[in-house]
Amino acid sequence: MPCHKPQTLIYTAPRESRRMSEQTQETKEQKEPGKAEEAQKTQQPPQPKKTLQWGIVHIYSSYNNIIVHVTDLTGAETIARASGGMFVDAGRLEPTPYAATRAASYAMEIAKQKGINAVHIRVRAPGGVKARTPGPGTQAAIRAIARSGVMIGRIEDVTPIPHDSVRKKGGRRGRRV
Amino acid sequence: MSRRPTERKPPKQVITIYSPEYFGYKEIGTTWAVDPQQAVGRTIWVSLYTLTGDFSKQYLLIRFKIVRVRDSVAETVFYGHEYGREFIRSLVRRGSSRIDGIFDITTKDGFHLRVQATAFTLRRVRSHSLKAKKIRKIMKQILEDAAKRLTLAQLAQELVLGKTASDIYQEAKKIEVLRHVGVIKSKVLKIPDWVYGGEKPPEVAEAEKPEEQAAVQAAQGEGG
Repeated sequence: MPCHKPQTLIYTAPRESRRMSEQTQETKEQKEPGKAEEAQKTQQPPQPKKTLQWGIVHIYSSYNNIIVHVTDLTGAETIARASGGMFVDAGRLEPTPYAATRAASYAMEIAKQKGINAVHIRVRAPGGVKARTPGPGTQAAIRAIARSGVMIGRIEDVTPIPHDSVRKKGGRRGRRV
Repeated sequence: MSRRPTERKPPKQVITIYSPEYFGYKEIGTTWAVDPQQAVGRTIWVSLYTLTGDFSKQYLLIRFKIVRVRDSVAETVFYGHEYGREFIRSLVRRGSSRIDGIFDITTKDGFHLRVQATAFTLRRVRSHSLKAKKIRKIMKQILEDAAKRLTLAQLAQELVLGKTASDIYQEAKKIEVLRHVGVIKSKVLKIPDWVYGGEKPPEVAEAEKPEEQAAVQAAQGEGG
């Protein structure tokens, strides 16, 4: 009969190994007192450990616009939001890398003020029967997020891909421009 | 007309989310809410890497649902899992087949789940061939058996850590040479009411008791 005991998933070894490494360092210092003094001089004061406040950046990037939306990890609470249209006047410029950069850096600025210092990025295109590749501003937006100084975790593509689909709009003869 | 003074929004509380006990009761994130009860029902995706520290499990994402909030601490239950999209794409290759089986199962403690098991073969197997049907039948049998004898806590561990997938592989490899077998997706369709109440009914507590009893019973069975 297989064992169904819930396994403890947390790996506890590092604390032990850390303690061991500290001990070995102490013994080394005892052996070589000169070197230990030098090490003390070069040693910097211990800095307080930075706690990571994670968020998620949802980037919806189409060929008509880009929306950058920062939320908490559950996706239920909005922290900041910006779109390409907030930074350019012409509609044709909304999906451009310039607008995407401005939108992403604006949203990240607000998010940083609210304490977010690490983010996962979820990129999506319209999907479904529409375009499945994200628009031209996506890469620029990701670069702007990276340059804003927050830590980046996962970058995922979450474009909705149907297993089947409805008929694409435009009729039998396609869109007639 | 004078402008109406804007109402001050009440401040939001920070709620720390913890994974369930069967996934180590580890802090997995934070959320905010005016009233902590608003956080109930929210879900959070975590990779298995964050829970175990094993980087090779980065591709496996687990979903937890908040069911209770006490003193700014949110308690969660397993709400599903999924292989990362890129990982599945890396498994799909030309010339080999993918056999999927999607089944609805009910655990011993009353959770309804929909699970998707997938087997990747080395050679081409047609989707409606006898071999594919046999493999799907094995998948269904093993998953339903597992659900019948396990609680959600135990089943979630088996799904995520690959015990069920390995069972399917051992049986299905007799039919066709397989490259990879995995339970690539699961989602909880229905959570029983007692989960939100916080107190387990006696029959569930009985089911979750350590397997000492099971071992004793097994020993008795062997003895008999």
